Order: sequence, then structure tokens, then C-alpha cells
Amino acid sequence: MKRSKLFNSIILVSGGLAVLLMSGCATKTENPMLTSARENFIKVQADPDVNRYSPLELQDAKVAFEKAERISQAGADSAEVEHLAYMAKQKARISSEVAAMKIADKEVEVASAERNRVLLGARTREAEHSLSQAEMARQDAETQRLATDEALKKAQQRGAELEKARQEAAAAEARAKKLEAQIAELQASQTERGLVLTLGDVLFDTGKSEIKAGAYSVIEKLVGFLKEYPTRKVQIEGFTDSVGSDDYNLSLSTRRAEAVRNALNGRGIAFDRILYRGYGETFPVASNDTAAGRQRNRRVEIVISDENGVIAERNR
Amino acid sequence: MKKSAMMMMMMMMMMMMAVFGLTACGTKIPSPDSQVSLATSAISQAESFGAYESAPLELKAARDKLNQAKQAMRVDDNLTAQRLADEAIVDANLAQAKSRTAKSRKAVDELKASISTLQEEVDRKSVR
Repeated sequence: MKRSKLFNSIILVSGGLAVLLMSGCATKTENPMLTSARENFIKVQADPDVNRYSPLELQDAKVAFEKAERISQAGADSAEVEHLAYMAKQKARISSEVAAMKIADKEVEVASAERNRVLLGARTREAEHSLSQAEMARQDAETQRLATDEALKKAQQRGAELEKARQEAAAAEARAKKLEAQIAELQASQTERGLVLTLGDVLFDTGKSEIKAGAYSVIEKLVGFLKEYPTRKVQIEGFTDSVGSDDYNLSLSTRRAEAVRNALNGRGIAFDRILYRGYGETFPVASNDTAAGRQRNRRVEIVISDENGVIAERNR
Repeated sequence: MKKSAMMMMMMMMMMMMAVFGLTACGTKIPSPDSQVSLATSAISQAESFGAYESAPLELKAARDKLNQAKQAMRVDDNLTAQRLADEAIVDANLAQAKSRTAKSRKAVDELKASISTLQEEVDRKSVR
């Protein structure tokens, strides 16, 4: 039967062709791109960072990989498998990269916060430093103020002291001037022994030792002076001319000196401030040959001590 | 030829066509315009994040594939064009992710340097 033989051979050939055609569209060994895609996928699937930070991208990669694998197993052509495998591989890499990006972004946040913390710390420290400097400046100013007050007080004290000294000097000068004036009023002479007040002959009657009225103004002045200067003492010395005996003249001169002493005492001057002595006709101040000279020798000299009560002795 | 033989022939032809059909050879697919425009914007986005310096290989791959996709479209090879456009998108996305990571890392380095300088200043001042 010729017809069935022909039919059988056509079936065989077309069947063989079909197998050949089919095997041409499917590979016996796996597409290397798919192998690479699988490696990448397994790696990122196991990566904890990817699972945590880029789960959506990981899911995307998973879907793409599973599609590529499915298509490959179903026997699609190599161009399609290669394309889908490439897509899957790149998506796996994207998921890894997105995780790295998010981690880096977090680090930016952390570093930024750290920087702000340090900046705040720096500013706080600067503020504290400024505060403490301000405090130190305030304390310095306070110390200065106290020192200035102290200096001012001292200056004022010194000023007061100076004023006091000036016033004392002025007072002393006034006193000295007053003394000068009083001495001038006393009509005392300044000698080497000190101040000497001379009461002349007219203040006593001849041969008498009673003081005449005219003497009292001088005595009053002397009393006033002695009361004003209580440290001063007086030495009253009586003298006569050469007329008459030495004894007589000595006695007279002594009595006259005593009279002056009593007069002073009677007016309030203590005895311990008054020394008296008669020198008789000794120590004349003028020649006894003339009347005028003799008159001059008939005198009472009152020597006024210095402020310390010292009277230099007669050294003639 | 007898009727049964012709039927057999028809069946074979159909089988062969089915086999061809499995490979999808000759199936009409639409022009991948949207994928091409997506790829274009993905590439420019990657560039804006500095992909030219940070992910030059991935960026070049994306650009090259986009050009090849456009060329394929011109000769009506829409399947190739679609695949190339899809790959260009994924390459551009990878380039972008890499660039953004690089940017953040650089920012971290700069911040750490700034912190170090600041800390030095603080330490120097507090020694006084």
C-alpha cells in the first residue's frame, strides 16, 4: 500500500522536524544570564539590610527572577530568557543599591544631629565662657570700685589731715603772732637771756619798796601774759644805783623785787612760777656818775622764761 | 491525492504553525512609545543625581540601549525596541540609586570632617 507508506514517512519527517524545531527554541544548558540573575537574587534575598531597607525593590526583583525562570523552563527562546534574566539581575542589584542608599541617608541624619550637638555644645561652652568672662569682668570692676572707694576714703582722710595740719599751723601762727603782739605790748626786750621787762625807777618812791600806781598797768599786762602762757616763769631782779651802802642797796633791791613778786601773786600767779632776787648796786646798766645814769640803774628787771620755764642764768 | 492524505498534510502544517507559534515568531507587538519616554526620563533623573560621575557605566549602558531601541523602532522591530527600552529603564534606575548612595556618603564624609573641626575648636577653647 503505497499511500500508507508515504503517509507514515511524512509523519515521521514532520515529527522529527517538529522535535528539531522545538529543541531549537529551547536550550539544553541554562542561559548564563539566568545563572547570574539567580546568584544575584539569592544574595540579595539573604541580605538583612535589603530585607529591612528595600523590601519593595526586593519583591520586584523576586517577581522578575521567578518570571525569567518560569519562561526559561517553559522553553522560551534564548533572547527572551536573556532579556528577562537581565531585567531580574538588574532589579536585584537595584534592591541592594537602594538599601545602601537608605543606610547612607540614615548616616547623614545621624552625622547631622551629631554636628548640631557639637555645635550646640560649642555654642553653650562659648556662652558659658562669655558668661564667666563677664562675671570675671564684673568682679574686676567690683574690686576696682572697692579699691577706688578705699583710695577715695584715704584721700579724703589725708585731705582732712592736711586741713587739720593747716588749721593747726594757722592756729600756731596766730598764737605766735598773738604772742609777738603781746610781747610787743609788754614792751619787753629780747636779750640773750630771753625776754626782759624792765620796770623803771619812777615806779618806786625813793628808798621805798612799795609799787606806785603807774606800775600796775605793766604788772597787769605781765599777769595777763603769764596767765596766757602758764608754762612760763619769771625771775624778778632788783637793782639800785651806787648811792648808799652795799648792804642797804642789796636789801632795798631785794624788797622791791619781792614787792613785784607779791603783786604778781596777788593777781593769781603762783609763787612757784616766780623767782626774785636783789642784786643791789651790782650789774649797773649805765654810769653812776650822772644823774641820768643813776636813774637808769635804779630798776627792776623781770626776766621771762621760755615756753619750758627755763631762765638762763646771768653770766656777767 | 486522496482526501485523507490532504487532511494529514493540513494537520502537519497546523502542527508546524503551532510550533512556530510557541516561539512567538512573527507576532505583532505595539510600538513601545511609553517605555521609550519612561527610559528617557529615567536617564535624565539619573543624570540629575550625578550619575555621570558616580555610575558612568550604568548610565552609558542606559543611553546606548535607548538609542538602539529608537533605531529598532525605526525598522519596526518593536520586540527588540521594547526589550531595549525596558533594559534602559532598569539601567537608569540602577545608575540613579548608585548616584544617590554616593551623594549621601559624600555628605556623611563632609559632616564628619566638620564635626572633627568643630570638636577641635571646642577642645582648643576649653583648654584655656
